[in-house]
Amino acid sequence: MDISKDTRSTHRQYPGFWKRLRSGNLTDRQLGFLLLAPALLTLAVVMLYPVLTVLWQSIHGEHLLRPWLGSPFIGLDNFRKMLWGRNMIWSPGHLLAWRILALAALPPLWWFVRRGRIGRGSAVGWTLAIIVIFGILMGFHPGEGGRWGDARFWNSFSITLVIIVISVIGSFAMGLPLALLANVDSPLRWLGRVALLLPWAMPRVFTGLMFAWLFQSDYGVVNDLLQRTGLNGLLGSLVDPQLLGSRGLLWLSRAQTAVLAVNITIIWKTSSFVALILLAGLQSIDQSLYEAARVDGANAWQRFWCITLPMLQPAVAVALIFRTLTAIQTFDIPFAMTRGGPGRTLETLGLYVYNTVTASNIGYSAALSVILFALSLAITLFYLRWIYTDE
Amino acid sequence: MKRIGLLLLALLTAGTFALAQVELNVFIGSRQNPDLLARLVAPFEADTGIKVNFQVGGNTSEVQQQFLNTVLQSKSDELDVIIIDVVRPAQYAAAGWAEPLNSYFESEQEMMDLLDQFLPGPVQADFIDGTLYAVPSYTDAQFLYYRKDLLEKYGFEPPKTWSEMVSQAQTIMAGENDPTLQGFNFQGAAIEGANCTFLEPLWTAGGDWRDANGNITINTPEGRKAFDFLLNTMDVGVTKPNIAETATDDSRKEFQAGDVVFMLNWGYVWARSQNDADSQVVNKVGVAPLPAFEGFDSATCIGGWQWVVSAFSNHKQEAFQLVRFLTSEDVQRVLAAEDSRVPARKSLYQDASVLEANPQYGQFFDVIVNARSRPVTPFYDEVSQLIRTTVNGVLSRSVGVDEALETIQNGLEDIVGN
Repeated sequence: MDISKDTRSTHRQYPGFWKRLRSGNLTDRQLGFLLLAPALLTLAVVMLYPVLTVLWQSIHGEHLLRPWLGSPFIGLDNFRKMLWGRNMIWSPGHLLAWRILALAALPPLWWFVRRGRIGRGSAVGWTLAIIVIFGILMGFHPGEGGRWGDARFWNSFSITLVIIVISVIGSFAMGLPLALLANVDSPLRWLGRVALLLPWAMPRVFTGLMFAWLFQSDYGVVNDLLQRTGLNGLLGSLVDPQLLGSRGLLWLSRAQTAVLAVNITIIWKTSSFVALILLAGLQSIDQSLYEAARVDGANAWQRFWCITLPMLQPAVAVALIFRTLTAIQTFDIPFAMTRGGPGRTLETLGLYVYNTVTASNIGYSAALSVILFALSLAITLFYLRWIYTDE
Repeated sequence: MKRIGLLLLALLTAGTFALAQVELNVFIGSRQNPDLLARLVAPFEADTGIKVNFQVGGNTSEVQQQFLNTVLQSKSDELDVIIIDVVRPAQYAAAGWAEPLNSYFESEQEMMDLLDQFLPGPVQADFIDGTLYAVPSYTDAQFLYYRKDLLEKYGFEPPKTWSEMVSQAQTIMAGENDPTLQGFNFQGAAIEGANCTFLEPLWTAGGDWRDANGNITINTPEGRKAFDFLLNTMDVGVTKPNIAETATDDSRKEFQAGDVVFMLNWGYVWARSQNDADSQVVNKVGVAPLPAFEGFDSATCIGGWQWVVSAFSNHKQEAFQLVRFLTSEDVQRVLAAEDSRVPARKSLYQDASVLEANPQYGQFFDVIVNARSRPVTPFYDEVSQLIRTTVNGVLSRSVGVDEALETIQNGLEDIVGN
């Protein structure tokens, strides 16, 4: 069938979609939508419907153990409870935070002025507006006996940020050397590649349970190794005695050491993923660049710094996005290792959502999920912008 | 062709008969010994013509409840009789999930007579403001297990006060000079049992989680005394510093390996420590009521399981019959003798066949009559999660005592106040 003729006929007569379908005479556009429809429908059912349900639930007070309350519309009350205090009062006592935020609002504005996007006049107007709005908001503080929102939320928010920073940096610090090692031209490099794949292929919960045993303070391998190498004595003189038991560091039953142990586990588990992506990046670098650099007399360090790293940037960006997104959603490893403990030290946002939903507080857990979603979205947008401005 | 027709007819008739017969669906956990229960209900089925099906789900109280939450929230009639943890009847009553049982008895007197045959602890949990929502199946409590041989060796009687217990443990540890020996072991991990770890010293200091007027009373001198006591056992070296990692069965294993002088734990430990092939403490174990602070009474946490009739059942009358049968003396006797379920009926503590299988029940009785309920509230899940994680935080020294008391106090006010 001649397609060009077909599209011309569309303009003339405009038969309906069903008529065209019966006669087997669809336009390209219609055919395209028809072929996409199953996928779109599936996505709508498994993605859109749950997302919309969570949004709906987050503005309704639904609690399975308080069925007599039903699920009334409560607006943004869940978010107010989470982020904001119960009884906030305004006073000028909190102007320090106000000033800092006002100052923080200025650089982006000046940047826009310099790029010529907005005029000086409106920049001044925006600055004033920001100072006033933030000032009014920041002047509020918790009244007598009140707190800034949900202390448990802020705790899980901050431990999630800590895990993002430490484990993402850590997995790159471990992953890049691993990738370089696996890329070395040697008959033994398959060994490095197998070693790379193993942690990546291992189920996360299994990894968590395994490391929980390694870090067990009485009969774990880690403390045993520290003992054998004589490092225990050194640690004993360096760290707070409250962190030490009879057989070395109390890895999983003290807050500081547990954060360290869980981050080490996450880094072990994820650096192989980073390394795999970086390895793919390394292999796509044109070897002639290195040859040319050698001819010019560049040493190994210069070749790494001036060729490998810059050429690796797209791979780094991809790895960074995926690694950061999984770090925001950290759940399995802290859950398997300490159930979010000791206390609530390692209760990440993901764990907090889980704990709230299993305590039957559907509404609040939906609100927490929305915040988690917003955080993931913000970081993704930031990275995407960074990648696209680079091109 | 004709034969197939006959076969179909036969199947259809069988189907109609099956429809006419009442079927009861009973939900139990995997720890409730489904095989034994199936055997026990056979006479009931024969007598009444009612068919009883068991649905088995989950091996912990929390996992079972997560499933039941969804079933009951949707008002499903698929379950008729359910076994629930002693901490939950209040939740079932408030949510309208458990059928009030008063009207199924012939008279008020008949109900009160029945309740009189049970221990006070489980009845306190099941009989709420004059309405009976559940009938006890079996009970449990935390006991003070101790090494009889070691206490005898140093001439000690089982301790009556906490400080006596700590000093006995110190003497024994110094005398034995065994680096693996722990003086006092309990559950410090953030599990359900950690609630008891905090409530027991709180109760034995004369405190409680709330007063008679319903005010939360955690941030009090008694609450502080409870936390200070637990931390002090670590400071003086009687309790191991990583007690925050210890869950119920970890305690049992360490005790059974002969590494612990005093331990708080549930009833099941006795049978395991005396019967397991790897036990180092056969005939070396004693059981006593929990110590208290000077001038106060001993108290302990009650455990155990109850039968409820689902409010959404289509066969409530038959379901009630089944509950009466399952909580009868005959059934409880078999559960106690064959499955070491601590009986909820008082008379069984003098029963020859029960005592023959479980000689320890004679000693258990004195402890169990003093057992108290963990917070009786419809919001037990949230209350429990709050207390146990905070207790774990204190024992791991990641939360200070002041902060912990304030967290539990404010948290409970939020949860119960809503």
